[in-house]
Amino acid sequence: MIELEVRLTPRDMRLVRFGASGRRWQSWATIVPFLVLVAVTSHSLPVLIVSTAIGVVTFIGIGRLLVRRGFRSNPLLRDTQRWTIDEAGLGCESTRDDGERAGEARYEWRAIDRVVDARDAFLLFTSARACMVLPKRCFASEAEIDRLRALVVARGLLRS
Amino acid sequence: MIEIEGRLTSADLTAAIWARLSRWPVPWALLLATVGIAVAALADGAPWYYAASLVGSVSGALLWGLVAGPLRRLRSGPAAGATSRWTVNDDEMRCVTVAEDGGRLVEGALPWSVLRRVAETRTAFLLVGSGRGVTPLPKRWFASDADVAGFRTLIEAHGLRGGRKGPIA
Repeated sequence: MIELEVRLTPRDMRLVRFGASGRRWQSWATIVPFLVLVAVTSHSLPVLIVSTAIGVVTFIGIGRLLVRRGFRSNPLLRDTQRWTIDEAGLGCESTRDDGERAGEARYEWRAIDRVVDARDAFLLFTSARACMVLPKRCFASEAEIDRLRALVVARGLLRS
Repeated sequence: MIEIEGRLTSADLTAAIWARLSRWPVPWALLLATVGIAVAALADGAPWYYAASLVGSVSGALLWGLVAGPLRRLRSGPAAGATSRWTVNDDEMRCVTVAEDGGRLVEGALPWSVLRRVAETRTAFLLVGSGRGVTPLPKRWFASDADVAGFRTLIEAHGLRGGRKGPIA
């Protein structure tokens, strides 16, 4: 059995939004039409560069702002999560900072659609848009990370 | 104890989204529109034409994200088409999600304290948690009108009865 205690950070949530979530194409689908529009409407190189810079900074900035706001406004994300993972599935108990119970859940492996093994975390997707984050820093050792990787590989859930 | 069971449909979720559509996207749409206008003006073209294009596309993308995201979540993954079985009492709400083949997917327990409020529409109760999510409990899932009334009593007893507007899933 693998046991880990997770306290998520805004950085973890950014990973869900921007990285390794299988949704990179959606980010590009947003930004490419914008860049094309800017390129078509620009009549000089400096204007093109400035417009592109404004667009990219706005795009990234708003994304980060949304993540930070979402994290701050949702106490559930700041709960301490105690995960137990075994051959049967994954269990999670959440507690508030003051020790109050904030809920528990038990996921069978078949409830997991896919797992992304990112550099800093495992992302366990239960649908196209919903996932649980297990930061690798929360595992007791590299061996534990390898054990979880083996569990998801054995079930054909791993996506790079 | 009240038992509630049913399968969530796209219509349930869409109704919940529209019922709770709030003002929060407006400031973001305005900010994006301002940036769009600035970019269009810098582009030295016909500013209002391009600004209007940007505002339209950004607003459209925003609404698309607000509605399509939750629907895609509902339709994809192993839990698509699953049945939810809720057991509600004065202490907590328990939910078991069962796949179409009868296999158990997820079992969870939520104390009432994690809910911020529960809104009620003509056809459903909307459970509003700490984040932006909303979980609809259609009234047709309840076995009887007495159970609906009992659930209403519970949410009032926990001080969770709230309005319909607010962030959406």
